[in-house]
Order: sequence, then structure tokens, then C-alpha cells
Amino acid sequence: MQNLHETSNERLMARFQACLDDEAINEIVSRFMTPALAVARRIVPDAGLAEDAVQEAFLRVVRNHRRYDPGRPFAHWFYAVLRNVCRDLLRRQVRHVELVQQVAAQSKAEIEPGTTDLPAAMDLLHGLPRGERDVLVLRVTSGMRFEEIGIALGISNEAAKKRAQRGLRRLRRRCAALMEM
Amino acid sequence: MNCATARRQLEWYAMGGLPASVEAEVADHLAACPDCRAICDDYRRMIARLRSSAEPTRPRPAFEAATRAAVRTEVRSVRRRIWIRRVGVALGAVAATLLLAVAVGHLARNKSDKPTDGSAPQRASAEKWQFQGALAVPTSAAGGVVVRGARMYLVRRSEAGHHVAAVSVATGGLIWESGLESRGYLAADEHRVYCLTATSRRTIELVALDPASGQPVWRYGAQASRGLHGPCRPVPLPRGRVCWTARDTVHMLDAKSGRAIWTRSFPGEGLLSPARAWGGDLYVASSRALHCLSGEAGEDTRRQPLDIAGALPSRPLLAVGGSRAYVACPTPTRTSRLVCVDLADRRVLWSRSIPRPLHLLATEDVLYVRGPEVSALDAASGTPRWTCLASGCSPMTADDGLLHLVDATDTGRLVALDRHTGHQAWEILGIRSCDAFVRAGDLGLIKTVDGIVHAFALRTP
Repeated sequence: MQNLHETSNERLMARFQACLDDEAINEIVSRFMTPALAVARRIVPDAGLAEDAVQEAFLRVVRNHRRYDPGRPFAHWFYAVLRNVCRDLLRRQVRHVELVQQVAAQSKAEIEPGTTDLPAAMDLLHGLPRGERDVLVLRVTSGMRFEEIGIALGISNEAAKKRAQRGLRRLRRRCAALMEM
Repeated sequence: MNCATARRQLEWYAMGGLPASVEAEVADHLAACPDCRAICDDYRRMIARLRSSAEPTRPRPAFEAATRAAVRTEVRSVRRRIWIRRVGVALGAVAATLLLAVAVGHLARNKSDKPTDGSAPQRASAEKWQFQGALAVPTSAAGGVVVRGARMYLVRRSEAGHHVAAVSVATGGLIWESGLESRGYLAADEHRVYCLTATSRRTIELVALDPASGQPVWRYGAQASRGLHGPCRPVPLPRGRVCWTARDTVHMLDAKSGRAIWTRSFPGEGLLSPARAWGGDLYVASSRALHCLSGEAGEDTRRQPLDIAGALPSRPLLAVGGSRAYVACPTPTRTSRLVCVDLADRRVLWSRSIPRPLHLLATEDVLYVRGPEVSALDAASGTPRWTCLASGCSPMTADDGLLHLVDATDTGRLVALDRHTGHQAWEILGIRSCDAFVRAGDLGLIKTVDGIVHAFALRTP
């Protein structure tokens, strides 16, 4: 039998579809847990909710495993499921406007205070347009490949690369402007 | 490669992700061009700063373990469903017909067991009796009604004060009224009726009354009076014991004598939940951990950390059912973290954020959560089975395959939902209450916010 770690995502999922293989789904969870959490954190405002979204996405993969088409890349399907779960959670959150406001206030409060120049870097990052910021964070802090980021956010590889480039340029310009002040 | 071409690639070069051949060309150019190198160094410094100030991207070990456990459970559940489907097909038409006949018979039998016809709401004419003057304290367990055998115990409110009273379930007639001023939080077992009282020293005492006469038999609390705030209802336990949680201390008492069998404190853990018994052990929860205490000696046999980021030190909700414990701890964002612990395997099965609940009710395979909505969560995975919009503060009770609660929408209503589907089985309109519906034989008892206990016949006369 081929080593699980060398098996493609698509083959793992096909194996899970065929016999509900525990090892196959476990390997999929191992591979996607970290990037999925990073992506979910870019979409939903609360770390706890992001964890819920990732857990629910894996459960939906198990529950709806028959809907996956083995001829298509598994990552596309998985991240589409994850984005849907995040959207569902956000929709539910809209009903609790107060909660959203508190989370936003809390996130701001976590970013604003700082005694070193490090939070300043995050401040600058949060000033970027959402699309550029998300790609940059996933590339720089989560180490995802541009192709992966494109799939995860539902944009093309080229768009992901361009956004990252624009974001980094913008950051450098802002840093330079701050230094001159 | 010239400067213009190199600078179009510099950002990607700094972030990584260029094809190897292009990367080598850019590296050659940078080695020879100090201006481009300076720009590239800027990018690298910025990336390093972003990396060092970013949130950790690795999942928390507890979350990772909980997710893997939830996935394993879901796989088992899918396997079961597939197996059942295959067996169903293999049985063939004859067996299917037999099953159908059995199912129809089963449904018919169940239907006859239901309290009333689901299509017609039960009417007020089914009301058997009323008892007026009961204490009603919204969103508190203080005024709760307790039924034990043929008697209902409640706190009666009058000009003379608040006193525990025993009322006949069959007629609604008063049997006795204790002379003891009480703060409520009633409980009862075969030996005693328990209530809490306030002392002149502003402490709380647990008092046991004789169920035959209402006379006080023993008091407990004088020796443990310091810091007894935020009272919990006492919990009667098998083998003639009663357990009372006061702030951060659990007291196990002999029901007949009131003698302390053991006490156990958890300093620094914040408020403790009321105790729940399972398998000879006793469980209490704080916002930090679920504690398993030996029922015999009160030793802390196991501390299961809950690992809830930012949990408030207020009293968590704890429910136990089907060898699982569920703890809901409030967090600052008006949500609670709900953690499910497998008591047999001693591990966290799953956890999730939910709108802050008021009550939990655990059965063998489902956890019912009362928050802004009523939800039935699958005990094994924590995924919702059904959700029903029903505002209000009444605890839920489960009986006969039905879940009872009071929906405060409009004029209020007492409603019974099918526990498996969430569909309404019956309702009684015009009921507003923050107390639990209590079943006593063929009668259903509910105390409304105006302090009137209503007894309804659960079968339409």
C-alpha cells in the first residue's frame, strides 16, 4: 500500500469514499487543519468561531463525502465547504449585532495597545484593503502557497499573487511615509 | 536582468514563490545592485515583523484533539446509517411490508401514549385546579416548585413572609405551611424537604424540614458561613445524602441528620456549578475545569481542564447524561463555550461556541440547549439536530418523548415539542413563566409569573 503521506488529497478522499477509511480522513484532517484555521480566521472575526467553522467543515466533508467528485481537486471542494460554513456562521452572527460589535471592539483593543514597534506592523497591515491583507497574511504568516490561497479564497492564482504584491508595496510606502513624518 | 524587470519581481522574491530560474536571476541582480538590494531588504524586514507579530497559526492541541474526535464519531455515525440502509434494502419487499406493519403499529401505540392530539391545542378547560400565592422570582431557581410523590412543595408568599408549603397534587389543597422564613431553592427526597434560609448574620443556611409536618429537623451552614453567596439549589442523592454547592465549596451531608460527611473546596476556581451524580461519582464544574469527586470521600479523583480562552469566572452550567458531561462557560462576547466530556474515556469529545444559554438538559444521546433559541445537539458530535425559536427563561423538562418549555412570545404559551424532530406536539396558550413544567402522573404543573400554580390534565377530558 502506498504511504499515506505521499498520497494525493484526491486519492485519500476517493479511499474515504470507498470504505470510510479512518486513516484517510485523519490524514486529510492533518493536512488541512492549519491552513483551514488560518483561512477561517480571515473570514470570521472571532477565533472561537473560526475553530467552530473548521470543525464543522470537516464534519460536513464526512457527512457529504458522496457529493465530492474525485475528478476535481479536493482542495477546491473543501475550501468551498469551509467558506460556506463561515458564511453561515456570519449570517447567524448578524442576528446578534451586539456580539459583532463587541468582537470588533475587542479585536481593535487587541491590536491598538503596544509597547514595541511590532504591533505597529499589524496596524499597518489592518489598514490595507481586505483582499490584499488576507492574501498577505495567509502567505507571510501562515506560509500558504499562492495557488493554495487562491483556492481557499475562491480567487485565481494570479489574482492572489497580484494582491500580495500590491499589499506589500503599499505597506512599504506607508512605512516610508511614517518614517518621514 | 535590469532594475525595472527585477523590481517587478522583488515582492514575490522576498515572500518566496518565484520559479527557480527567475529567482536565480533576481538573486544575481541583487548581488550586483545595491538600490534593488535595499528595497528587497525593506520587504524582508517588513515580512519578518509581520511574522513575529502575527497570531500563532498552529491549532490549539485541545481543539485539534476535539476535532479529530468529532470526525471519528461522525464517521461511525455515517457507517451506521449506511449499514442500516443496506440492511433495509436486503430485507426485500416482504420484510419491508412486515416492518411497515410493525412501524404503523408502533406509531399508533405511541400516538395513544401522547398527552393529547397534536392537531388540537389543549384548552384551558382541561385545567384541574389552581394554587395562588406562590413565590415567583424571574430567571432564578429560588421559586421553583418541587413534586415528590403525591405532594408539591413550594414557597408561599404572604404578608407574614415567605414560607415553605406542602400542597396536595390531586386537589391543590394546602397540607401544611412551615413557620420558617425561607428564600426558596427547594429540593425534596424521601427523607426531607430542603430549602435555603437567610440568617441574621447575612449568611445562607441549608435547612431540612420534616415532610410530614414542615417542622425544621436540622440546619447546616453556621460552620461554613463565610463567603456563602450565590446560592445553589441542594441536590438530593441516592443512599440518603444531599449535596450542596456554596460558592467554591461542595458539602456532602447526611439527609437524616444533616451531619457533614465531607466538604471539598476549590479555592481560586471561581463559582462552582451545582453537583451532578454519575456512576457513583460526583461532578462539579468551574470555568476552568470539570472536577470528578469520589462520592464516598469527596476526593478529587480527576480534574479535566476545560481550556476555554477568556472564560468568565461566573457559575458555569453543567449537565450530565448518557456518560457525557456538558459544561457551558460564559465568555466576554455574550457567547458561551460549550464543552462535552466523555466521562468513561475521560477526554473532551467536542466543544463549540453558542449564544449564551440559560439552561442545559442532557439525555442519553441529545443535549437540549435553551438560549435565544432551543436547540437539540447531537451528543456525540455537537452538531444541531433541530432548532426552534422560543424566547423565554423557563428550564426544559423531558418526558414521554416530549420536551416541555414555556415560550414567552406574545402572550406566552406552554409548549411540548417532539424530542426527535422539534415539531410541536401540543400547546397551552396564555402561559408566561420562568419555571419548569413538572409532570405529576396525569397532571402537568406550571407556576406562572403571577405566582399561580396551574394543574392541567395531560389528556383531554
